[in-house]
Amino acid sequence: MRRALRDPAALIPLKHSTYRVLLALADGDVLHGYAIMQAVADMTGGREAVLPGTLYAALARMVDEGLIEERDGSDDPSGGPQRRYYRRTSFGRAVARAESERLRDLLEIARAQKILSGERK
Amino acid sequence: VSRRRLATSVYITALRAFPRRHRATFAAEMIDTFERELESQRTHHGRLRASVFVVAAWLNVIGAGVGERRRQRRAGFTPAGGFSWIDVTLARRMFVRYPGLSIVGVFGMAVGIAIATAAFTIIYAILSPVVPLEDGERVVSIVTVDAATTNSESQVMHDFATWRTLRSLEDIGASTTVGRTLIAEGGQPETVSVAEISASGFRVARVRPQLGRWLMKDDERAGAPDVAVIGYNAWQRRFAGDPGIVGREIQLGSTTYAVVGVMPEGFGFPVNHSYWIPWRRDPSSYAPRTGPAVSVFARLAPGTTLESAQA
Repeated sequence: MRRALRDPAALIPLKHSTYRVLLALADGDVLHGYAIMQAVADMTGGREAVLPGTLYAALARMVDEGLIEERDGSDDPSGGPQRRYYRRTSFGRAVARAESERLRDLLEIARAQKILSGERK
Repeated sequence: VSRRRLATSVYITALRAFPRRHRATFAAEMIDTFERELESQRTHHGRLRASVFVVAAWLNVIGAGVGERRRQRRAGFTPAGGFSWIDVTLARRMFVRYPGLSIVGVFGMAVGIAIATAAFTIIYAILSPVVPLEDGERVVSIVTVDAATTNSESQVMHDFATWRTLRSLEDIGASTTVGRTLIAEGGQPETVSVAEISASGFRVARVRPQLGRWLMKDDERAGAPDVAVIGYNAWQRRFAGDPGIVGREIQLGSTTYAVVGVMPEGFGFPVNHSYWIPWRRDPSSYAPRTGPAVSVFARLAPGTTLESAQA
């Protein structure tokens, strides 16, 4: 038995950057900022990108909101400064799900209007 | 190399758009990330794309930095080294040079703070997490969460049958929402949201009806007369506040119900409902994760804390 302490719907709709970071941090992934930036590009075939300013502002905000949490990570073999590593929280996953459902509902509307069928007016 | 250094130098300068607190935590990583991405863009896409990236990153860091400053101010973060004698000196000079403007400014801020305080007090009262019921802090909702996916499960009929035996709860109720077409004398048919609610739900809420009675355990019995309770707004809007509403018949869907009570203004338990009908389901007959979506709510037993109930 557990009481729902926070409602994921309260954060919906999400900022694009927040949603991308939540998707980039798949279950079990513990990534640092630059790796998240690369993961966003990889998962969208390079079509979507998050610039460093947006990314690190989003990470700070998402930690405060409990969507992600800092975790110990292995040292980056390529060198560079000491990095912070992040993992998606269960609340972050619930928020990603709520946002995905919202977008799915919009997509259903687009489908119903045959916007996706290739028709052009 | 010199171009790259120049690009990084400008980026570091632009980083000052971020508040000091943020820079102290992230600046080194941000600079490293910028340099790595710049190198990656140059290697894989050429100088033109790298230049586009540099300009975009400069503008982006300024925009994001200003946004982060706003966010930290809203969140109430105190900037590092918040007190500064420079501010005091500037304020003194400003007051000497423009006394009238300074007084008006101070007065304006005082009025602004007063308005903001009043607004926040109202907003806090509206958004307070405590349910606005008698001993509202002891009213809880109960959910099943899938440990693997962390998703909450709405088909909890089977669980409800188990939860009813918990000693940590004084009363436990359940409801499910159904849409019905309301047909009543003197008005057009309309679709309304109806709560099919257990009688115990009204005991959890502890709000006395304005007229008549609320739903009783006996109303849940198979074959019992079909009765309904309506909300204050529905009574006023749909039945013109008819003082003789108790005993009148209304049709919800294909069933005719006798109105037995009217709840007071503002009552919408569990979630903004205005029509309530008896719960006539046997939770023990449902297999796990079957049946309709159900909301389960309860009142903690005396002496039970939320933490001990969750344990």
